[in-house]
Amino acid sequence: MKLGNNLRRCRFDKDEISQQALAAIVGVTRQTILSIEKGKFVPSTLLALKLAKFFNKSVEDIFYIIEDEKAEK
Amino acid sequence: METTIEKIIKLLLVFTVVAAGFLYWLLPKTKLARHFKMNETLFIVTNIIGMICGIVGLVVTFLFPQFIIELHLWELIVTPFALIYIYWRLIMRIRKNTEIVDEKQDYNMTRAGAITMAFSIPAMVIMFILYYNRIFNGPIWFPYYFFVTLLVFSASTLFLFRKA
Repeated sequence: MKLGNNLRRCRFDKDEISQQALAAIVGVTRQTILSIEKGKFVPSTLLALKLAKFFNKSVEDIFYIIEDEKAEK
Repeated sequence: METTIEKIIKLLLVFTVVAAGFLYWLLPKTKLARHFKMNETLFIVTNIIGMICGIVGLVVTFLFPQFIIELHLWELIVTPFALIYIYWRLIMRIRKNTEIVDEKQDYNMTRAGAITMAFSIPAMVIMFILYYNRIFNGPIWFPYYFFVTLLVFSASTLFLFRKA
Protein backbone atom coordinates (compact mmCIF):
# COMPACT_ATOMS: atom_id res chain seq x y z
CA MET A 1 0.00 0.00 0.00
CA LYS A 2 1.09 3.52 -0.76
CA LEU A 3 -0.10 6.93 0.28
CA GLY A 4 -1.40 9.07 -2.58
CA ASN A 5 -2.34 12.71 -2.30
CA ASN A 6 -4.11 15.58 -4.00
CA LEU A 7 -1.82 18.18 -2.56
CA ARG A 8 -0.86 19.71 -5.88
CA ARG A 9 -4.51 19.98 -6.91
CA CYS A 10 -5.36 21.51 -3.53
CA ARG A 11 -2.59 24.11 -3.94
CA PHE A 12 -3.87 25.13 -7.35
CA ASP A 13 -7.44 25.30 -6.10
CA LYS A 14 -6.24 27.53 -3.27
CA ASP A 15 -5.14 30.49 -5.43
CA GLU A 16 -2.18 28.54 -6.81
CA ILE A 17 -0.29 28.88 -3.56
CA SER A 18 3.39 28.06 -3.99
CA GLN A 19 5.13 25.17 -2.27
CA GLN A 20 7.32 27.69 -0.46
CA ALA A 21 4.33 29.63 0.90
CA LEU A 22 2.51 26.46 1.94
CA ALA A 23 5.66 25.17 3.61
CA ALA A 24 6.00 28.39 5.61
CA ILE A 25 2.35 28.21 6.72
CA VAL A 26 2.51 24.63 7.98
CA GLY A 27 6.05 25.02 9.37
CA VAL A 28 8.11 22.72 7.15
CA THR A 29 10.61 23.17 4.34
CA ARG A 30 9.70 23.45 0.66
CA GLN A 31 11.56 20.20 0.07
CA THR A 32 9.15 18.42 2.43
CA ILE A 33 6.09 19.66 0.51
CA LEU A 34 7.76 18.64 -2.77
CA SER A 35 8.52 15.15 -1.41
CA ILE A 36 4.96 14.69 -0.14
CA GLU A 37 3.52 15.76 -3.51
CA LYS A 38 5.75 13.27 -5.30
CA GLY A 39 4.74 10.54 -2.85
CA LYS A 40 8.32 10.07 -1.66
CA PHE A 41 7.66 11.11 1.91
CA VAL A 42 4.76 10.14 4.16
CA PRO A 43 3.82 13.06 6.41
CA SER A 44 3.09 12.71 10.10
CA THR A 45 -0.51 12.82 11.32
CA LEU A 46 0.14 16.29 12.70
CA LEU A 47 1.36 17.62 9.37
CA ALA A 48 -1.50 15.95 7.49
CA LEU A 49 -3.97 17.61 9.87
CA LYS A 50 -2.24 20.96 9.49
CA LEU A 51 -2.50 20.68 5.70
CA ALA A 52 -6.15 19.62 5.90
CA LYS A 53 -6.92 22.54 8.21
CA PHE A 54 -5.23 25.01 5.89
CA PHE A 55 -7.12 23.77 2.82
CA ASN A 56 -10.33 23.53 4.86
CA LYS A 57 -10.76 19.90 3.82
CA SER A 58 -10.72 16.56 5.60
CA VAL A 59 -7.49 14.54 5.65
CA GLU A 60 -9.16 11.93 3.41
CA ASP A 61 -9.83 14.61 0.79
CA ILE A 62 -6.11 15.24 0.51
CA PHE A 63 -4.59 11.85 1.26
CA TYR A 64 -5.77 8.46 0.09
CA ILE A 65 -4.50 4.89 0.04
CA ILE A 66 -3.25 3.35 -3.19
CA GLU A 67 -3.86 -0.35 -2.87
CA ASP A 68 -1.03 -2.62 -3.91
CA GLU A 69 -1.95 -4.60 -7.06
CA LYS A 70 -0.58 -7.82 -5.56
CA ALA A 71 -2.56 -7.30 -2.38
CA GLU A 72 -5.76 -6.87 -4.41
CA LYS A 73 -5.24 -10.27 -6.06
CA MET B 1 58.33 20.93 23.10
CA GLU B 2 55.65 23.01 21.46
CA THR B 3 56.36 24.31 18.00
CA THR B 4 55.28 27.76 16.84
CA ILE B 5 52.61 26.27 14.57
CA GLU B 6 51.21 24.24 17.46
CA LYS B 7 51.09 27.37 19.65
CA ILE B 8 49.30 29.35 16.93
CA ILE B 9 46.76 26.57 16.38
CA LYS B 10 46.13 26.23 20.12
CA LEU B 11 45.69 29.99 20.51
CA LEU B 12 43.32 30.07 17.54
CA LEU B 13 41.26 27.21 18.99
CA VAL B 14 41.10 28.75 22.47
CA PHE B 15 40.09 32.11 20.99
CA THR B 16 37.40 30.44 18.86
CA VAL B 17 35.99 28.48 21.80
CA VAL B 18 35.96 31.53 24.08
CA ALA B 19 34.42 33.77 21.39
CA ALA B 20 31.77 31.16 20.54
CA GLY B 21 30.93 30.69 24.23
CA PHE B 22 30.70 34.45 24.76
CA LEU B 23 28.44 34.94 21.74
CA TYR B 24 26.29 31.96 22.78
CA TRP B 25 25.75 33.72 26.11
CA LEU B 26 25.39 37.24 24.73
CA LEU B 27 23.40 36.98 21.49
CA PRO B 28 20.08 35.73 22.94
CA LYS B 29 19.99 38.90 25.04
CA THR B 30 20.29 41.24 22.06
CA LYS B 31 17.81 42.42 19.44
CA LEU B 32 19.68 40.32 16.90
CA ALA B 33 18.12 37.20 18.41
CA ARG B 34 14.86 37.51 16.46
CA HIS B 35 16.77 37.19 13.18
CA PHE B 36 18.16 33.78 14.14
CA LYS B 37 16.03 31.03 12.72
CA MET B 38 16.42 27.66 11.09
CA ASN B 39 15.73 27.38 7.39
CA GLU B 40 16.36 25.10 4.44
CA THR B 41 19.49 26.98 3.36
CA LEU B 42 21.11 26.66 6.78
CA PHE B 43 20.37 22.93 6.80
CA ILE B 44 21.97 22.50 3.37
CA VAL B 45 24.96 24.71 4.24
CA THR B 46 25.53 22.73 7.47
CA ASN B 47 25.75 19.49 5.53
CA ILE B 48 27.98 20.99 2.83
CA ILE B 49 30.34 22.27 5.55
CA GLY B 50 30.25 18.81 7.16
CA MET B 51 31.23 17.27 3.83
CA ILE B 52 34.05 19.76 3.26
CA CYS B 53 35.39 19.26 6.80
CA GLY B 54 35.19 15.49 6.32
CA ILE B 55 37.05 15.54 2.99
CA VAL B 56 39.72 17.97 4.20
CA GLY B 57 40.13 15.95 7.41
CA LEU B 58 40.58 12.68 5.53
CA VAL B 59 43.06 14.21 3.09
CA VAL B 60 45.12 15.69 5.94
CA THR B 61 44.88 12.42 7.91
CA PHE B 62 46.36 10.46 5.02
CA LEU B 63 48.91 13.08 3.93
CA PHE B 64 50.16 14.17 7.37
CA PRO B 65 49.29 11.35 9.79
CA GLN B 66 52.11 12.38 12.14
CA PHE B 67 50.79 15.94 12.53
CA ILE B 68 47.01 15.65 12.58
CA ILE B 69 46.82 14.92 16.31
CA GLU B 70 50.14 16.35 17.51
CA LEU B 71 49.51 19.79 16.04
CA HIS B 72 45.77 19.74 16.87
CA LEU B 73 45.03 19.97 13.16
CA TRP B 74 41.92 17.80 13.40
CA GLU B 75 40.34 20.19 15.92
CA LEU B 76 41.12 23.09 13.61
CA ILE B 77 39.58 21.31 10.62
CA VAL B 78 36.39 20.47 12.48
CA THR B 79 36.00 24.02 13.86
CA PRO B 80 33.71 25.35 11.04
CA PHE B 81 31.31 22.43 11.57
CA ALA B 82 31.47 22.86 15.35
CA LEU B 83 30.67 26.57 14.98
CA ILE B 84 27.66 25.92 12.79
CA TYR B 85 26.49 23.31 15.30
CA ILE B 86 26.81 25.94 18.06
CA TYR B 87 24.69 28.21 15.87
CA TRP B 88 22.03 25.46 15.75
CA ARG B 89 22.16 25.24 19.57
CA LEU B 90 21.85 29.02 19.72
CA ILE B 91 18.69 28.89 17.59
CA MET B 92 17.29 26.16 19.86
CA ARG B 93 18.04 28.32 22.90
CA ILE B 94 16.48 31.45 21.41
CA ARG B 95 13.38 29.62 20.15
CA LYS B 96 13.17 27.60 23.39
CA ASN B 97 12.55 24.58 21.19
CA THR B 98 14.87 21.68 20.40
CA GLU B 99 12.82 20.68 17.34
CA ILE B 100 14.21 23.14 14.83
CA VAL B 101 14.39 20.75 11.90
CA ASP B 102 11.20 19.63 10.19
CA GLU B 103 10.00 16.03 10.12
CA LYS B 104 11.53 15.20 6.74
CA GLN B 105 14.91 16.57 7.79
CA ASP B 106 14.65 14.60 11.02
CA TYR B 107 13.75 11.44 9.07
CA ASN B 108 16.63 12.03 6.61
CA MET B 109 19.11 12.51 9.46
CA THR B 110 17.93 9.29 11.12
CA ARG B 111 18.39 7.35 7.88
CA ALA B 112 21.76 9.02 7.32
CA GLY B 113 22.77 7.89 10.83
CA ALA B 114 21.93 4.29 9.94
CA ILE B 115 23.85 4.54 6.65
CA THR B 116 26.84 6.03 8.49
CA MET B 117 26.81 3.25 11.07
CA ALA B 118 26.71 0.61 8.36
CA PHE B 119 29.47 2.36 6.39
CA SER B 120 31.74 2.80 9.41
CA ILE B 121 32.20 -0.97 9.76
CA PRO B 122 33.99 -1.59 6.40
CA ALA B 123 35.78 1.75 6.84
CA MET B 124 37.25 0.57 10.13
CA VAL B 125 38.10 -2.83 8.60
CA ILE B 126 40.20 -0.94 6.04
CA MET B 127 41.89 0.96 8.89
CA PHE B 128 42.52 -2.34 10.69
CA ILE B 129 44.21 -3.72 7.55
CA LEU B 130 46.37 -0.58 7.30
CA TYR B 131 47.37 -0.96 10.98
CA TYR B 132 47.99 -4.68 10.55
CA ASN B 133 50.36 -3.99 7.65
CA ARG B 134 52.07 -1.26 9.71
CA ILE B 135 51.16 1.48 7.23
CA PHE B 136 49.61 3.45 10.10
CA ASN B 137 50.26 3.41 13.82
CA GLY B 138 49.33 5.40 16.90
CA PRO B 139 45.98 7.06 17.49
CA ILE B 140 45.42 7.96 13.80
CA TRP B 141 42.31 5.76 13.73
CA PHE B 142 40.40 8.38 15.68
CA PRO B 143 40.56 11.33 13.22
CA TYR B 144 40.05 8.82 10.39
CA TYR B 145 36.89 7.44 12.02
CA PHE B 146 35.69 10.92 12.95
CA PHE B 147 36.09 12.40 9.47
CA VAL B 148 34.70 9.33 7.70
CA THR B 149 31.53 9.45 9.81
CA LEU B 150 31.25 13.23 9.38
CA LEU B 151 31.62 12.95 5.61
CA VAL B 152 29.24 10.02 5.18
CA PHE B 153 26.63 11.45 7.54
CA SER B 154 26.66 14.91 5.94
CA ALA B 155 26.71 13.58 2.38
CA SER B 156 23.91 11.06 2.95
CA THR B 157 21.77 13.59 4.85
CA LEU B 158 22.14 16.06 1.99
CA PHE B 159 21.48 13.41 -0.64
CA LEU B 160 18.36 12.10 1.10
CA PHE B 161 17.07 15.61 1.73
CA ARG B 162 17.56 16.76 -1.86
CA LYS B 163 16.09 13.56 -3.28
CA ALA B 164 12.48 14.69 -3.51
